[in-house]
Amino acid sequence: KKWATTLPKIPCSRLALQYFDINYSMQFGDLWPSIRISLLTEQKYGALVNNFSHKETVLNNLSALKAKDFISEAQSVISLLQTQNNVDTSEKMVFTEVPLNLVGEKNDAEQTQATNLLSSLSNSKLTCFTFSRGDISRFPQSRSDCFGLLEYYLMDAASLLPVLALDIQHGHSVLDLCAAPGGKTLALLQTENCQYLAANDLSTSRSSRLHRVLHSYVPRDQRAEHKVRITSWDGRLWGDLEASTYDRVLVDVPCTTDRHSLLEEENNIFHRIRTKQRQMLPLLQTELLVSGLRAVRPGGEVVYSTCSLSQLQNECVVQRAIELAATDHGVLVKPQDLSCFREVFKNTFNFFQDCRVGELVVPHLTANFGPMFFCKLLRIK
Amino acid sequence: MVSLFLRRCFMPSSILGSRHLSLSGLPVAAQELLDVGFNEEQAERILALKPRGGDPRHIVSCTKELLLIGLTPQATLKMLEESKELRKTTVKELRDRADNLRSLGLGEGSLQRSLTRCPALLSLPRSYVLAAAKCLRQQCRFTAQQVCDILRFSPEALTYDPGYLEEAFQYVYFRMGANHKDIITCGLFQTSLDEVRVRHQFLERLGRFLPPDKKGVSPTSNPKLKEVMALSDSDFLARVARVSPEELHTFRKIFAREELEAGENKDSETGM
Ligand SMILES: C[S@@+](CC[C@H](N)C(=O)[O-])C[C@H]1O[C@@H](n2cnc3c(N)ncnc32)[C@H](O)[C@@H]1O
Repeated sequence: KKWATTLPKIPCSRLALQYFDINYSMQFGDLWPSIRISLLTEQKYGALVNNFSHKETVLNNLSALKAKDFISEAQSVISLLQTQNNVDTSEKMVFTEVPLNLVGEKNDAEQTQATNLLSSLSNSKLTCFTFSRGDISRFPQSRSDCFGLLEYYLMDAASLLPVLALDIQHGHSVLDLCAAPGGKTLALLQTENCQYLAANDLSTSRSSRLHRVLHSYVPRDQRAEHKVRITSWDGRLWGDLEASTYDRVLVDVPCTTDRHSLLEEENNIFHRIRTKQRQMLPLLQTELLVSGLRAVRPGGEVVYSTCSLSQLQNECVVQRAIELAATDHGVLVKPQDLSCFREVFKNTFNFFQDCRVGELVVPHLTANFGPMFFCKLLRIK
Repeated sequence: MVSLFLRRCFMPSSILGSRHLSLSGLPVAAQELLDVGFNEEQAERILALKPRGGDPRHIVSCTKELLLIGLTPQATLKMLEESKELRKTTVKELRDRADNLRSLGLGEGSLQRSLTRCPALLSLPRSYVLAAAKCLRQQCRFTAQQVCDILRFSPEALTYDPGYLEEAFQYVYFRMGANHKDIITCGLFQTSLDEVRVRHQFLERLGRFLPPDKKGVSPTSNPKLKEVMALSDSDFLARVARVSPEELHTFRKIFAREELEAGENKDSETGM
């Protein structure tokens, strides 16, 4: 074994690392080394349980692996804090009252937001198993149950946070603007709250993967034409196509996919011939988000998400889109406070504390999920 | 005061029997050890080392040979107590092996220090030590003087399998950009290569240890090899890696699995 010969040439992943070292060490300072090593090391998965499968068996099998449902753990954190809070302030015994320590120093509107969000979180039907901090076990491949449906979907558990933040309520019509390969789409359907779901992705080849995913996890009647529509259009058109239509819109944009870019050569956005495309990403992201903001009805909500750490692709895009939506389309939106997520999910994920808007899950070796940025916007007008 | 042990030797049932009694009444073996500078307690402990039913003369001759090599009574006792192999070695072998080490350049003083630290140098066949030295010279391109320095700083190195030495050397030389001089003093041969690789790759992925440039020179911003290899986990974390123990702990597990799976892949590629 000659170590000299195992050194790679300058591959795309190396270029990505150089780029991240420069930008993220400025953005994250002392935190960057811990994030860096996590990105370069095998990520953790979550097993999103298929509510349409024979759930009881699946739950038993996953529990036998010593994995735990992180959502129900968060739910017990919420109820614990709620009861504590009710004891503290026993004169106002409102059940949905959010504990003070979750809400922090906030105004009334923000308190109500947090209260509502936490109470729907408490009722979420999503179930996703993860291994606890420091446990590096893996889940076995998902198998088909007695109905021929796959038992669980393996995905970055942090990908569920944008879906949970979207807070889909019974009877909502939902648009998933960039849906393929379909992890979040599947989670949206698992809430069993979507009256109607439009799933779109520009790429036809990726859309066919989305088809396959839904086919393997969702019974036919649940994805009938009047319930689920799959399209392959340019998401930027939606603001014109279906303006002010949806109750909820998920805008999970293409990004530098930081983890992927460091580990895979194939399809790498840091390839020299894709430099232009990479530099245009923030623009594309902004256009997609503006389109999503126009497609949601006033009073409805949009969640913007990426799997990148980049401020340029996260906070800056959100701020720019808010401006553009107002100036170009008269659409007024307001970022919603999600900081309560930091508290209730802190056992499972590591959050970055200093985002100007939105929340960011940063990878950590003991909890190697993310990166996942998500920001919720309420359309006012 | 004559101890219980020595007194037991007077009893008719003693395995030593009366022919081993010296004029002074002590057993010959014990007396000899006292004569060459051991105290009673030490002599007792040495004689207790002889294999059951074995000839006490052997352990006494071994002991004397070690003293001739220049080791102190304390060091001799400690080495004999710690190394079963050493107790089985013949006097001639001991002498040849010490001569061999001298011929590799170990001078008086150094020889004794290295032997105290690594008694295995005397219990391993001469050919092992020579093979290790040859590998250090030829495969790893250390000079004769440097091999001698290795014998002084990390005598263990000469007891290792040449294949391992070469692999360890190549790893730090090529992957970590180390030079010959640093390798001798950094403690590479006192740590296992696996552990070196865990720490190095931990630092590398943290971005705290950059790979060598095209000429093989390591950036000066890198931590010293010694800081990578010789510190305790807690010092290493606090001073060099500057992250939490949980992260190192988790990384060890992940790295072990990566290694295991890399090995499995290689096996399946070559059809083994
Ligand atoms: C981060 S991925 C979405 C992942 C998906 N939401 C999931 O959870 O599995 C981004 C997707 O956006 C799609 N995309 C890129 N440009 C687009 C556009 N202009 N309109 C719609 N989708 C687009 C890409 O094909 C890609 O599948």
